[in-house]
Amino acid sequence: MTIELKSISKIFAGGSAHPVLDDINLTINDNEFFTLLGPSGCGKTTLLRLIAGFEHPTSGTIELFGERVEGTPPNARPVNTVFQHYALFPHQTVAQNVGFGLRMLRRPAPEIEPEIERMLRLVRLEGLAHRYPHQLSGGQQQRVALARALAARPRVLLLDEPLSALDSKLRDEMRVELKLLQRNTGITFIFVTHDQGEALSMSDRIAVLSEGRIQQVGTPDDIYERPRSRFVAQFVGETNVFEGKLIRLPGKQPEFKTSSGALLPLGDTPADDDNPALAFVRPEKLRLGNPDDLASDPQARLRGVVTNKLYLGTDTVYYVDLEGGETLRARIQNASAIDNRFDVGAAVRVRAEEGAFRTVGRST
Amino acid sequence: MAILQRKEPHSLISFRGFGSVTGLCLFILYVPMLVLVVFSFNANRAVTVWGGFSLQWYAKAAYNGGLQNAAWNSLVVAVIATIVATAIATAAALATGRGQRFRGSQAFYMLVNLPLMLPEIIIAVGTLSFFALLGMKLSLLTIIIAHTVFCIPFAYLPIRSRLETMDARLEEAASDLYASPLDAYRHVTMPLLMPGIISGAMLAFVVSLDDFIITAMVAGAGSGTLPVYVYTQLKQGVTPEINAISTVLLAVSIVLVAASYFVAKAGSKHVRPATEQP
Ligand SMILES: Nc1ncnc2c1ncn2[C@@H]1O[C@H](COP(=O)(O)OP(=O)(O)OP(=O)(O)O)[C@@H](O)[C@H]1O
Ligand SMILES: [Mg+2]
Repeated sequence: MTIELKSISKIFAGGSAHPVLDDINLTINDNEFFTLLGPSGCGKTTLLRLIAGFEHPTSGTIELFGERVEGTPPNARPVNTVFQHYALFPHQTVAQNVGFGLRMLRRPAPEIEPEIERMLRLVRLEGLAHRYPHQLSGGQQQRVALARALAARPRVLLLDEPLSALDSKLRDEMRVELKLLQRNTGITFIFVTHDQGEALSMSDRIAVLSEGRIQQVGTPDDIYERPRSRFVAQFVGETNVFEGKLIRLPGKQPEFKTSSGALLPLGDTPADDDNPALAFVRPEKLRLGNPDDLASDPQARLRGVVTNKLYLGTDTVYYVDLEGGETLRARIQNASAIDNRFDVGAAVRVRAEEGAFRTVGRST
Repeated sequence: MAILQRKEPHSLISFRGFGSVTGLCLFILYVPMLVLVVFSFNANRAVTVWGGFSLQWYAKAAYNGGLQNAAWNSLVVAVIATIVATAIATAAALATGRGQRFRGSQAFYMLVNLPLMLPEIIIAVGTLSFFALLGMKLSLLTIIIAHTVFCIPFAYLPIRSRLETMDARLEEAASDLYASPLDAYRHVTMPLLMPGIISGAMLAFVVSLDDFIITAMVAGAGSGTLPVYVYTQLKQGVTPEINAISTVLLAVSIVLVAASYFVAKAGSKHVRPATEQP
C-alpha cells in the first residue's frame, strides 16, 4: 500500500469555516495510476499538498508506505510534484531545473548529466536544455516541470493538472506517454484533473470529489457505468436524467415512473436502492427506430418526436421530445448511411438495451 | 494641437506650458551641481570667474594629506557600515517577508522604516547623547556604529520589495525536490534575492558616503569623513579644490545609484515564471 489517508479533514485558518476537505478516506495502491477528478475548487490541489507535506491535515492521518508522516517535511518524503503553476526556477536553465532534485540528493555530476538528457528526450525538449523558463511556451514549461519531477525517481508522483496548458494534439500524445511512463517506471501516479475524458482514459482508479468530499471511488468503468450519485452521473459523461419514482410490482421487472408519467424499464436495481429518486441513461445507449417497426419490441416503449439534430461526423445526437414532455438525447453512431436518417419532426420509438436505464438516490 | 489630441483629455501633460515648467524645475534642481562641476575645472583661483580649463585642483586635492585621511575614513566607514547593515537588513526582510507571520510584524516593518521619515538632526543628537550616556569616546568607531544603524532602513527597502515580488511557491518546489531548508535558501531564495541585496547595499554605501549631519556630531578629532572635511574647509571660503572633491563625490554617488537601479531592473525578469497557468 503506497498511501493511506484516514479521515482527513482540512480547514484553513483564516479561511471559511466550511472544511475544504471533509473526512477523506482513501487507499492508493502500489504502481497505481490514481486520479482525483472534480470541479474547480473542490479541494484537489489541497489534497495533493497534504500528501506532499506543504499543508497539514486539521484531523486525520496520512501514511506513506506504511509510515505516518505527520512530522516529515516535504524534502524527506519520496514524493515529487508537478505543480499546477509549474513553479520552475526562473534563474536556472531547463537543464539545471531538471537536475535540481538529483543535485539536492548529492548525486555525482557524471550521473546527473545523462539523466537530464534522458528526461529531456522523454518530454521532447532536447534542443531547449540551455533556455531559461521565461523563454519557453506554457506547454514547454509544463513539460520541463514534468521532467524535473520525474528525474529524481520519486516513488510517488503527484501531478496537478499537468496537461491543461497543452494543445489538444499534444495533450492526446502526452496522455499516452504518461500512461506508458507510469506503467514502465512503476511509480505511483496521483493525477489531478477536472477533465473527465482524461480521467477515464488514463486511470486505474478514479476518486470523484465534490466540495471536499469523496463521492465515489472506482475503476473508470465503475464510475461511468455505475455512478452512485447524481453528481457523479452528471459530472462524468453525458447523461439524460429523469425525476420520478421507482415502481416494483411482484413478478415484473421494476420500472421507473418519471414525473411526467413515462415508464422507463429498469434492469436489476441495487438492493440498497429502495427509494431512488432519479433515473438516468447515457445517450449512446439509446437507439431510434421507426414507430411501426418497433411497435412490438418490449425494450422500445418510449415514443417521441425528433426536435433537433446535431451531426458530429462519427455520431449524430438526436433530441427527442417524449410524449410526457421530457427531452432525451440519443447519440447514434454513424456506422452506415442509414443511421443518419431521421429528420427533425420525425416520429420515433426509443429503444434501450436491458439495463441501460439506471437509478440513483436523490441526496447522495 | 496634434499632440493635445493624442493625450488623454485631463492628463497633466496636456496642459500648455507643461514642458517648459518641467524643464525649469529640472534646471533649478541641477544648476548648483552644474556650477560646481564646471568650476572644478576652472584654471582661475577665483571661484566665480572662468579662467580656462584645468585639472590642477584635482591634482592638488590628490596630494592633500587632510583630504586623503578624510577620504580613507569615508571609505572604511562606508564599506563596514554597508556590509553590516545589508546583512542585518537581509535577515530582517526574510524574517518579516517569509515564513510564519509573527505577532507585530506590521509594527516591526514600520519601526524599521520610521528613521527614514524622521529629521536627521534628531537622530544625530540622539545618537550623540546615546554615546555620551555610554561614555564612549568619539572616534571612527562611533561613526561606523552610527552609519550602520541609519543605513539599515535604506538597505532594507529594496531587499524587502524584491522579496515581495518573489514567488514563495518556488521555495516549496525546492523542498519538494529534496532541498533542505538551507539548500532551498542557498539555491533558490538567495540567487533570486541577490539583485535586491546588491541594490540595497549600493544605496547604503551612497547614503553612508554622503552623510554629513550625523557624522559631524559623532566624529572624533581627526576621524572626519569627506563631507565633514569639505565643510570645515568651507570656513576658509569655497575653493576650486573643494569643488573638485565634491565633483568626485557626486560622480561616485551617481554611478552607484544608477548601478543600483540597473541591477534591480536586470534582476526583475528572473523574478517569476514567465507565464502562469492560464
Ligand atoms: N491557503 C488557503 N487558505 C484558505 N483557503 C484556501 C487555501 N487554499 C485553498 N483554499 C480554498 O480551498 C478550496 C479548494 O482549493 P483547491 O486549490 O484545493 O481547489 P482545486 O480543486 O485544486 O481547484 P482547481 O481545479 O481550480 O485548481 C477553495 O475553495 C480555496 O479557496
Ligand atoms: Mg488545483
